[in-house]
Amino acid sequence: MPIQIQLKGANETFNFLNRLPRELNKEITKAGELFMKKVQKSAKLRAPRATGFLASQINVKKQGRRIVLSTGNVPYAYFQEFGFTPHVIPIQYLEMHYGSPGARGVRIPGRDISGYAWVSRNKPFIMPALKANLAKLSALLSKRTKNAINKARR
Amino acid sequence: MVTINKSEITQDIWKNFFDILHNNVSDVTATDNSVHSVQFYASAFPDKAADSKSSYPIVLIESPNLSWEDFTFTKKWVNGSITLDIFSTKAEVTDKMIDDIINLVETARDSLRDLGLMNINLDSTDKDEFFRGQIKVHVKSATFTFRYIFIKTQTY
Repeated sequence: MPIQIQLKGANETFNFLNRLPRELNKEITKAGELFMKKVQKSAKLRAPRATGFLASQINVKKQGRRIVLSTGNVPYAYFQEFGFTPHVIPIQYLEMHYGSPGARGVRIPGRDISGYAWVSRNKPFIMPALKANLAKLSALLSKRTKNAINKARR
Repeated sequence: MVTINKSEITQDIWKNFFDILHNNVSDVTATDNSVHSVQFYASAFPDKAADSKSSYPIVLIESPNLSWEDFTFTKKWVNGSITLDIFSTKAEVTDKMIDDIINLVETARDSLRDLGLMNINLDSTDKDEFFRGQIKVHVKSATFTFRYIFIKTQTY
């Protein structure tokens, strides 16, 4: 007695499998962008604010396929994040910074220095922001993967 | 509230959410009977102020994110999302306020539909906390998604 096996929905399955990688790629890229935006937002909130310049310069850029969190052209961002040896600075440096936060400090002749300020503490802002958001990454990825599967099904 | 136009869609959507919140969210009473009044509404966290407890709660209505998708031969969907944030020095206050906000947006769905926004959904809520000087600031965010339809310009 001959046995006949009929496979239904093969075309749909092939189409689904064809579309899935493309949709996954799109959704995972979006998830990456969203994640970086969340880290950016957290980092801006955590950044030390005297003039608000550092916080205003934290941004997310696309460099080809990479998404990069940048602190722009802020010379002291690295030291706020990674620390420095406690030291004294001329008070005029602080005044200069408050006057034009983005500009680099200019050497002040010894005779013009009116006093010194003790600089001892840094305030990391990127790593804490990253840590706070890493816990949300898996949920974000699974949501985007589900979206990709649903889109590939259509 | 303003009718949403394609040419000013970002501003119009922001304005509508601002109006909903500004006209309806003001005070929250915590369990210790302290009353917390919203200090100000903004579209971005202030760069300088807000270093004292009296500067909070703050309500932030972020600028909406938009993307297009083909709908019909003559129309396009706008898929968008908007995030509303509460900053407060008391976690309980952020929770109460975010509940108020979610409920407000839910009950305003009908009037927003009349203005052109449809399929409004709560996409996610999020929480965070950070230090500003000596004070701990609690943040609670609610992200809403929505859709809008416009007639597209025909090209070859």
